[in-house]
Amino acid sequence: MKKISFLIFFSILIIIFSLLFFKSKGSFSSVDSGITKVFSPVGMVFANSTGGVKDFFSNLGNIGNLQKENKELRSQINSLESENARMTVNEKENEALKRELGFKNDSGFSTIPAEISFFDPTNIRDTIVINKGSNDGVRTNMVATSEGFLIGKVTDVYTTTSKILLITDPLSTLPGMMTTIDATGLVQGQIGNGLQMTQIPQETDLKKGEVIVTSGLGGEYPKGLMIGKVESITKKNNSIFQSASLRTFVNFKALERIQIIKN
Amino acid sequence: MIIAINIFIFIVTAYLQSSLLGRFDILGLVPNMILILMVSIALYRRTYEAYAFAFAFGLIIDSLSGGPFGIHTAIFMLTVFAASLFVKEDHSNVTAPLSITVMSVVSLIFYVTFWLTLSFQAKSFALSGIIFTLEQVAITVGFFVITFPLLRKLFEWEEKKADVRMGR
Repeated sequence: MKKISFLIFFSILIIIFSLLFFKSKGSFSSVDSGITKVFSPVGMVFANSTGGVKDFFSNLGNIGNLQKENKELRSQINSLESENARMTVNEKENEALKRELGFKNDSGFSTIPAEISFFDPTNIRDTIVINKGSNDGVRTNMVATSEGFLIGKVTDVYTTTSKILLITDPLSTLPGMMTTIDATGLVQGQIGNGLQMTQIPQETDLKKGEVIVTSGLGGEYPKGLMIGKVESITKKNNSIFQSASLRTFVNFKALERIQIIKN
Repeated sequence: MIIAINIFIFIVTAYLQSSLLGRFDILGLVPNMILILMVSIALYRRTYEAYAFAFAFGLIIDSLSGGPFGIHTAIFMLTVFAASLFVKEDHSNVTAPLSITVMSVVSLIFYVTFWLTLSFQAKSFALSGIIFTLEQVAITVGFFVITFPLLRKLFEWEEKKADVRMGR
């Protein structure tokens, strides 16, 4: 019995060593690849099915580590999300600044940049308080723009702050003109943030979407500053003038930075 | 101490009104938190305190607003006067329905005064202006209904503290 066991053990050793020897010489490569090809799909099914079970048991063992890892990943996601939000805000700000810089370069105006400190607390008047005053060169009647669009003019100047009357204020009136038609009118603010253009000659062929700019008449506002576009037209047969409701290009409630035109 | 708390509340309200609420409007409407606080003081505190607040903070709001200087001071004092007409001297008749009535009357006075002043100045009495004025009144009264129980509790707490201090 002992002899047989010794023979089997010796034969297995010889087989293993001979296989290793022939494998190292490359004699089994084609046989090896053939076997792999045949058995690989089955192997994959097994690997996949057993992988799940194996993962389940290994997860049970690693649950503490996984929780820790999960926490770390969550905190990483949070920090990446906040970074992403910050970058989106920066991108928006960058675009707004680019537009403002573009307007500054194209128009040739010399401007004073300012930020908004306060809005009118009543919501009936449309005025804002900015963080630049006479110390920064701001003077009464200077014109205020945002991203190249007209927003109002300076009415009161203090040493470090100034008050601006927005064009949507009911007491704001300025001369405007159409860009494609040769006609002018008066742009007036309305209670409730509206803007209306009145005194447009009846014969003017005014269309929806027409862009209105400052006409420069009276010298209070420079010519060609964008005000808004026509949203609706009111025409009465017995009147010598027609009027139009305007939509501004700027969201006055979302204003953050503005430019005061010096010259 | 109690006056200091009221001043703190008023400054925070004024700041929120002119910076935060200015940006976050509801369909273009902004509730007038300053007016709500002013009416609450007139209803739940002593009338002379309310006049003092109306004068001091009217001037602050005048400096931030675009209206003629002094108009807020005048309207706030008028507000306190109007509220005092409804309220007994010991404030014993101040109930929720009375508070809402006073707030409605006062905000109507406030916004209609503004609308009339502006319309005369601009020589334009547009219907949209009247509608906007009434909408502003509605949203202010709406916010008063939400906030006044809290303000009432605050003023009652202040009153109790004052009583304890005075040994009443």
